[in-house]
Amino acid sequence: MIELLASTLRLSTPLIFAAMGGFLCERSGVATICLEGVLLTSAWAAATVTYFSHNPYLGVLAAVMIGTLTMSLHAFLSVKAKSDQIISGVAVNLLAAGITPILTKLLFSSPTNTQTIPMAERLNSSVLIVMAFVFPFLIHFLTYRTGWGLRLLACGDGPEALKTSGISPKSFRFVALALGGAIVSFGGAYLSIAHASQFTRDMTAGRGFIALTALIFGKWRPLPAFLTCLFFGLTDALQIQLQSHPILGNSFPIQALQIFPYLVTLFVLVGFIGRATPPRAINQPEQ
Amino acid sequence: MPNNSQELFSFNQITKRFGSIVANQEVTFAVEKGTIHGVVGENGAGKSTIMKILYGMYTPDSGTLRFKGEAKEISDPETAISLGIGMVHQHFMLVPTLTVWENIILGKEPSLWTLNKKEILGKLEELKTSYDFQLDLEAKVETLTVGQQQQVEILKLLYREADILILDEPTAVLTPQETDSLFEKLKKLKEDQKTIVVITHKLKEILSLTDFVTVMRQGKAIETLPTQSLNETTLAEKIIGRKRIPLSNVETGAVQKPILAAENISLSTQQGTLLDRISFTIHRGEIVGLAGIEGNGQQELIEILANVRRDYQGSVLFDSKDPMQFSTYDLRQQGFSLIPPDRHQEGVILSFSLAENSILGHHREKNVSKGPLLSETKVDELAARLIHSFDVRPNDTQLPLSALSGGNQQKLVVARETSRPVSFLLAAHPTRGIDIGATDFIHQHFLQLKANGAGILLVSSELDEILKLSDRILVIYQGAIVAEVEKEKATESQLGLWMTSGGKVCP
Amino acid sequence: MSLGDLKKNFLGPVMAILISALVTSLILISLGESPEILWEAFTSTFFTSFGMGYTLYYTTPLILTGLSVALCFHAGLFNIGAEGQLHLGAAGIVAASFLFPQLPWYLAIPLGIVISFLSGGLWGLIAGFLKAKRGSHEVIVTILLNFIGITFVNYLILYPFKNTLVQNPETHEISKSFFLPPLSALTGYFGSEIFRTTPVNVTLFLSLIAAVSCHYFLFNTTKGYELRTLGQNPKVAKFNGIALAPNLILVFFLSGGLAGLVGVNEVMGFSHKLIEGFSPQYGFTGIAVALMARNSPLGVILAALLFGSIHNGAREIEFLSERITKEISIVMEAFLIILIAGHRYFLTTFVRIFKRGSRD
Repeated sequence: MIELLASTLRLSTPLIFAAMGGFLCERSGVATICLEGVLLTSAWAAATVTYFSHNPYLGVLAAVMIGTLTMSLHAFLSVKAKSDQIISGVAVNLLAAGITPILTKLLFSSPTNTQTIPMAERLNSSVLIVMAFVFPFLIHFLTYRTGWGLRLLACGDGPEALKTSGISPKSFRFVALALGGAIVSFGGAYLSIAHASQFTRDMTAGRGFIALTALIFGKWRPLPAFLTCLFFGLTDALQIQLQSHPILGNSFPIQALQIFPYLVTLFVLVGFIGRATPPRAINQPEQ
Repeated sequence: MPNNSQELFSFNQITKRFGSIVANQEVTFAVEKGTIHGVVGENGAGKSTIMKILYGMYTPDSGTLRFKGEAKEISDPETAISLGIGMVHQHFMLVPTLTVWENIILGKEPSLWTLNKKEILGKLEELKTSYDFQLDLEAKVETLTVGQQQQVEILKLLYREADILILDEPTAVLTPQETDSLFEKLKKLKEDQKTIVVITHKLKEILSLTDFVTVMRQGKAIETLPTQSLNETTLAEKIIGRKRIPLSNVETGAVQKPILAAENISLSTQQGTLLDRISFTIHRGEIVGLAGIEGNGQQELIEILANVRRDYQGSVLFDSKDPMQFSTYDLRQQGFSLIPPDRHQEGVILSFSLAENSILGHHREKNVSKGPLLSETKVDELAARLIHSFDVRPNDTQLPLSALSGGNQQKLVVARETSRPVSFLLAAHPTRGIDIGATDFIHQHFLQLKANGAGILLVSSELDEILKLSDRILVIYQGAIVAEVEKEKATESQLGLWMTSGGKVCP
Repeated sequence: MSLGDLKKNFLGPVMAILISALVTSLILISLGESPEILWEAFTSTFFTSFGMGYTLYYTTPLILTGLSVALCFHAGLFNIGAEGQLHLGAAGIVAASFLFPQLPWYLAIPLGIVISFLSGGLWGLIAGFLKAKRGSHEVIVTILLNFIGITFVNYLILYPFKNTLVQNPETHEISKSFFLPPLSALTGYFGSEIFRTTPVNVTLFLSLIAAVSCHYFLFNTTKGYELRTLGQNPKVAKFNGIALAPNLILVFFLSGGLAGLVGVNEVMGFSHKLIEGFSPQYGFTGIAVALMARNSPLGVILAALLFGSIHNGAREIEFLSERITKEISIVMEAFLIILIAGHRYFLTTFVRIFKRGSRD
């Protein structure tokens, strides 16, 4: 039981970071389906830099830099180049999925994993887990109690109002996405150097999309999204526990258990959300 | 021309192009300090553009701006705001999900970090009462009426200590009463030495509110005159550049059979009672006007009558048949034509060609299709015919509709909906935002349809239009019909009263 | 087609290709490989019979997934689920073959084609249904369905359908009556050696027919007109007699079905069984294909050819180089998407830089 709880905390952490980062991005009016890609690149950066530098904190730094860069590519495409935001997100995801194996093969001679990092050099999960639990409240405060947060809400729900008040929504979105990308990167770093001990190809396994679903289910508010992430973490924890259960673990093929979290996500999305209203200005490029 | 020593700002030979369209051509006029100055003209005359140049939203291609005696370049709204210039746009620039106070301080927050709500509210209350505005600062903007939202916009400007207020089509969405209230406030602001520029196409308001008028036509500033020197006729003639052709009246025959009968139509949703036991009958050969401020149930009623919406109580009879037995598409085939209230969101596809737009809602008819197949040549032929009969310009069937002016787009819609046998026409806000030329054309066409035996329900918030065309007038207020009056007995002020209070206030 | 039209439709894509090639060369150089490899790979994919055969084999499914995505785009929808839909389509063929192994070929082949269309179509229909009834965003739904669908098909491959006689994760072979001949058989009939030992098969013709049919459907039928109107503005559609829900479901069914036909190319036309991981991201590449072709069904044919050759070329590169993996094609695709999606901006920026440069 305790094990389940601990497992839930561990498995929700990357989701929470992704959802909080995604919150800032989407609330500024930019549809962000590339949380997956940002998680992937930041995870890769963390693992690679930690391996070579033997220092997990440098790894986290690298993750944040690379993750922010990745999200900024999406920002550039969507905001500056006025590309359709969904397509831009798909492109970033593809780029991340394609470039990480190539770089991995280059540096480690195998395209699928980086070299494992010894126990001593891995990141302490507890620090990140605590961060993950504090961030939602920080984000809530930032959004609903500060002047900057007011501008964020205006950027997503009424960018024309922001513009005529003398603030460029374009510039604001660049900042929001950079910040959001940085937050997501913590999730990526957690995945590869705290939770695991290496980067594996496609290791994010859809977590970015699950985080996005949590955000939508939470109606684009940080605290409900946070709770939803916990729920998804619980589902994942259950699935893993079942796999090693003496009886139940053997009566289902592994695929059935693997499907379980995605199926639950789908049910949540479909069954309980229905028509959720995103920030008004999402996916509407600046005129 | 106004006395130069009083001049606050002026435009000098300002020219602005958007692609191949010349929005402003060598526009020159001056505005005096402490006056209310009207800029008047038809849609597309360039009045919004020139004022947006003052507000820094556009930069002129050539010409200069003079501000307080010096040449100035205003390259962005921030600069304009710092000079004390503020603008209230035609379509409000408010964030609907935020509150009044949040919208007011947006962009000029006392701090980017923590906000002291109490302090802010205190300051805003002071500002509010000093100008006699009545607003709940903590209300979410989306819950406010249009008139109240406009007040928020004006408060925004005052919070930033604007001395020059530019209002773009301020009364387009207001009731007569709200308009009076706005004018009172504007006059008070003028007494406070503020300068106000009003962009509008409404003649009556120019005459009652402004001190000076600049008439614009096709991108040029034609004249600037003191308002006292004009009356409605002379002003209208200057705006269109020629004398208006009066409507040739068509004989009103005896009232014929009923074509559309609504009985006790009611609609209740989570948002409340939207429609309350609406009943009326329209006969062939008559035009019935439904007057009302937008948002009093017209949209829902239109959707119900046109078979787009089916979740109501009560009954509708179209030509003695129940329209619910038909699909939305098939109802059209029965002779029911619809000019939808919002052309861009309901009537046309801007990116489609003229040809493709001319079959919208009629795309399965035999003259263009054979079973599931659609014939491009036949569609083209139909489009050419419609364009010709309604003089739609430019007349290239392959052009995207977005290349046409609003008036021409609407002409195509009217052509499309009335070029097949029509027994009933539901025309919703048919001339909204359209230039006078196209408006007159469409009005004349409606009279012709009436003479040919069609019944028309004209839904509009323009009292002029209602009074000009209707045989009978109904007024809708908060989802119910609150008045029905024959054309001869109707007056504008009475109608305005019904539209704004349901007749519950004694005149 | 006037010069202006040509410029509009081809300038963007051609520039995008050139720039992508340039960028890829730069990447190759920075990773220590000579860009000559790129040229070698390119020539071999197009100018040898062996290379062209493989290129066409990859082009076939890309036409289908490209059409699948493009069709949805016309209706204003994002179909990211082609990957899952094509897996279901392939699985459907295997199931049909195991259920009816004794059918003669003139019944088996149509059955296989129909079943693959139906299986993919039904999987796609789920997304359409959920959007119509619950308003769920089809991007996330289709992505989730990808995970679910692919995992489910993997289960089928590894358990009930598994070929227990071999180590590989694959099913038993399907019955011979379901086999489709390779193109080399056709060309061999005329005495030519072309395309020998390559997997390109007659499904290529099926995909070409599908492309032409899509074009005709979208622009010359009333239903196609309705879907396009819906895609431009659902509210206008509603007001003019075009219902939302049935059309959503229809278009996702058709899209899913088109993607499902990929199974025909793979299972009936080439490997004659279902292998785990047989699809090198055909579904996602289909998105790039549709984008490149600006959703024109006929343009999809050309775009699919381009991406097919990129994919083939990437395998060549992996073969020729020790350091680069075949994922280089994914990177190139991503760049192509980026360039196409932002093409208006990139073009105007280049023109501006060009002008400024030439003025000085």
